[in-house]
Amino acid sequence: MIQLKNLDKYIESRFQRVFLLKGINLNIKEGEFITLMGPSGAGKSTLLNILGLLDEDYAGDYFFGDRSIRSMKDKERSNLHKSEFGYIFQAYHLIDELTVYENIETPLLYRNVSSSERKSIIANLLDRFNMVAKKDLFPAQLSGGQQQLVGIARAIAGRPRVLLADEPTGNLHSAQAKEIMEIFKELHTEGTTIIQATHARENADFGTRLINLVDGRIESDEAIAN
Amino acid sequence: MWINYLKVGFRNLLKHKSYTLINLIGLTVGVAVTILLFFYVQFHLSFDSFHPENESLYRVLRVQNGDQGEFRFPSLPLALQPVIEENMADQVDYTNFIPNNFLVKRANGDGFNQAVTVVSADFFEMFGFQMKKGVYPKNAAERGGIVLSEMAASRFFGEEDPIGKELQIRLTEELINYTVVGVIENTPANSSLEYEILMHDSNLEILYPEQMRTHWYMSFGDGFAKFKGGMTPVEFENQTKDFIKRTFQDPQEAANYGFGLQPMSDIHLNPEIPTGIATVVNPRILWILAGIAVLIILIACINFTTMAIGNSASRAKEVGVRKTMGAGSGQLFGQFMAESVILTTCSMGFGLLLSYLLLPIFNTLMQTRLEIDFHAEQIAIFLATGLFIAMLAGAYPSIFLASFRPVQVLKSNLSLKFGKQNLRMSMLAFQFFISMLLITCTLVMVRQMKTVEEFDLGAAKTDIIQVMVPPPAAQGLQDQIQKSFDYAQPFKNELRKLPEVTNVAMATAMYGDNSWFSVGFRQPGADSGMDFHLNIVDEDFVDFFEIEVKEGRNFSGATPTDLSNAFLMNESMKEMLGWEDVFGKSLVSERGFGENRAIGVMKDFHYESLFQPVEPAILVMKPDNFFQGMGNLTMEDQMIAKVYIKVKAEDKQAFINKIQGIWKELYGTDPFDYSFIEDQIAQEYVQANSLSTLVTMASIVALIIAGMGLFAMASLAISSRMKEIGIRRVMGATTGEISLLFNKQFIRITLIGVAVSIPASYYLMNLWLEDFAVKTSIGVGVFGISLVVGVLFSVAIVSFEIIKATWLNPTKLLRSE
Repeated sequence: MIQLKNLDKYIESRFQRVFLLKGINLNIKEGEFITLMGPSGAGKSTLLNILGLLDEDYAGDYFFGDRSIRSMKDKERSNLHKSEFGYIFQAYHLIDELTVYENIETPLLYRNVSSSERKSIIANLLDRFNMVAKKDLFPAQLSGGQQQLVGIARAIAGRPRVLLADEPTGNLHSAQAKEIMEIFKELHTEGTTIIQATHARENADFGTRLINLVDGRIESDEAIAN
Repeated sequence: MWINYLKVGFRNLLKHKSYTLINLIGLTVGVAVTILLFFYVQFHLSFDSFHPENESLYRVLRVQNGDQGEFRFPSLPLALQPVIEENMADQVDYTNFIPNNFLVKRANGDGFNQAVTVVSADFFEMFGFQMKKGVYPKNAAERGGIVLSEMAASRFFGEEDPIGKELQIRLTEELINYTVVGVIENTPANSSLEYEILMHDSNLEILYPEQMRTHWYMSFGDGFAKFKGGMTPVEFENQTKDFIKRTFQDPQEAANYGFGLQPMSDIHLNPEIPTGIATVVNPRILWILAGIAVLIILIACINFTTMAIGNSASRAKEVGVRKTMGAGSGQLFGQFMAESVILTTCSMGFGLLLSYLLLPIFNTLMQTRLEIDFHAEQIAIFLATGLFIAMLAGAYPSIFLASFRPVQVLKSNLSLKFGKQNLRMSMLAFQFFISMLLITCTLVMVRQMKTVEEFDLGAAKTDIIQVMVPPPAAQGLQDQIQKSFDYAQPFKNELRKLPEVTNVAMATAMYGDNSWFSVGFRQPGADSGMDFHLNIVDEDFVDFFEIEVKEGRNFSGATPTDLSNAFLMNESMKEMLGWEDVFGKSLVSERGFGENRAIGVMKDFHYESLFQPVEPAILVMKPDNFFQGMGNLTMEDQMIAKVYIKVKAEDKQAFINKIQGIWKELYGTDPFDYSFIEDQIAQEYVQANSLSTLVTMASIVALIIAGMGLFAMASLAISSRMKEIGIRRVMGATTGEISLLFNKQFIRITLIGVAVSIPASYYLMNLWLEDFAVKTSIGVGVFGISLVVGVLFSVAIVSFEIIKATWLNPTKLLRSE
């Protein structure tokens, strides 16, 4: 489904090139649940951003399906970005001025989903995450775990095929983190491809594949048997 | 989607209350000032535009070629009308428009000194003034019919129907009965022509003797022409020129005499031509006002822009999230523009409300009758202003915000460096430039108006009351002048007996532009003519106004010939004539003045406003000998004696009541019309004064808005460097040192603004001062004051913000990072 070929990402500084990613070759099949691990600065977030089409400044090739991202027009790339990817952040990144309901609604608005359809999608999600009573609250009124639940709901509202999560449990305590990971597992069994970056080894156990990054290189790539 | 945008927009505005408030106040005040100024400018530009077929309407001007070039006067000889009627009747509609003041009364009511305008029948067809009732007099046979404006009708007849009722008007010796045959609408506020009672011009036969009505060098009032059937201005000028060539015997004279045309739409805005009956506004003033409006709105918009950018850190995350969710830059741009539109719409609403509240003050200040009634132009201006603000204020921050890249802004714990610091600083400098410019101009203008007020005119002006003598019954101009002096003599005699009165004098005029006769003549054998101003006075005049006689002597009651043939001249007159020894010399004209002899020279004194230099002038006690030989005569006002009373009384009103009693005893119901000379003089400077007040207001508004902007900028700069302040405090920096650190930056900006404003304001003020014959110097002090004001202002605001910040515990500042 996703194929990276000899991908480099570097910053030109005055005297030298500093590589953030170097020589990444990666093949991701539909339905995989991949965990990216590695110390701070290893390039996990950078790789996620590139995978999620948020960063287009790299060398090498990126194929989505059998099409090269580089050969796509802006419009196509932006459509791909909208229809195929969902994002979850460590700091949740909910829009403070919008209620829970409105936050979940946002990606649907950009996908031109009709009003009645939006209502039913959001109602389902709220129901699924047990947040019906909180739908009119603002993010600041929620606990971290609850905010991340909204973040997930928002990410999957548009039914993306690929879910990208950057340290989704980084700001949560372990009970909340476990809850979030259970949801990921559930989404995975429903068929969503998930790629998460994390520091916590235990989170990798929910996935199917573990990739270790060190200094911008893939150090190991192993399957995890559940 | 738009609902979502608007929701976020509103919630954001509510969340950042102080910024929203600053923006809203700034924009509201800006909008209110701008609306008023733009509407005012539009009002003046719209003058006389309501006449149908306006482009074929012209005011006829008399063109006089002389040595000093071509002069164009709006006053016309009465001889012109018959010429047009005979030669161009099917190509030109023509009307006289001769303003007069007559005593008007109902058969057994009180008399009013009332404006009566003499017009031709064509008047009612040519212009856009609507008849409300009845008909108008169409020919000489109907000359007993008059038309009243609605205002005049209600003054004389109240609620009654005026049609068919009679009014008595004293044109000559006795009261003549006129019948009201029609009522016409009041003159619109934006009309150059103003009337109250309209009378058919066949009445001129009663008013002026034949020789004055056919005289080519005596002018009385304005004349208007409307072309039809393919007539062009050039054709009109040629045809009248041909006629003059045929009529005048002297070809040289004919070559110098002609008629020109001024488009109706030009009348209100052309200060080059003497005003005549219409008020004129210098278009330069309109441009200045429009410029001020734009500057104020610019300052307010800059506030919006700098604050939106300065505050962008708080919106960065939202932009990042929305972009990750699939929003395009265009959508985000739309969203932020929507927010700017919300704010603009609110401030437009409040601004409109504020301008409604300010309108009465503005009208008093500018001596105008502006109305906010939302005709098409006003709506267009209003909407354009709104669109302009929304675009100008919102576009840049919207582009700026929409261009954020999610990868950068979403990185957690990254302290964002919002570049473009220079841009914000230059915008701040620009605001200071505008504020300082306006402040400097204010200082210069206020100083100039003070100079004008305190200027020694060379003649007395304090504690003088002027009483108008009502137009007497008379035959012709000289008779009218003589009779008005005779009429007022008993009043003068009575006043002399009062203890409060220190002196009394009579003259046809004293202060005011074009209030004296203007006489042109040519010396025998001279190539070109000369012009001088003429005033008819009594023997007390010179002493009364404390005018210094430098050579020769004053008029004397003891020398009887003074009354008939003596004249006094001012220094400018002496200079123009080039005479060495003045006493006993006579002024000689090609056409032969009557017997006259100079008896003295007066020190120049200002009888016109200080916009004018002192022009050559002479005083006589009887004008007859000069009227004989002059080349031409122009008068703006009716030349009738006025009584000047110098009074030493604490309670002026009681004194007025007293002399009004004397007046009633002597003259019964004749109107008693008085004014204070100082008020009259002030009247000359109303436009200059109101402009100066307006600039003062504008500079205060500009300073306040710019101050709010500075306040916001300073608090943003400080809040983004809270950590630095905390660290410096921990290292032992004092409040003063930190304050200096920030102040240095802002003072530099202030100085740049002030520096740029100096040449700009110097240039503008020199331009403004050009109009004055007497002017103040633009000293270094003025710039010094605005520099100090600017620096103190910014230091005060910045320091306030810093002291607020340093009061916080440094550990708190550091923890918040």
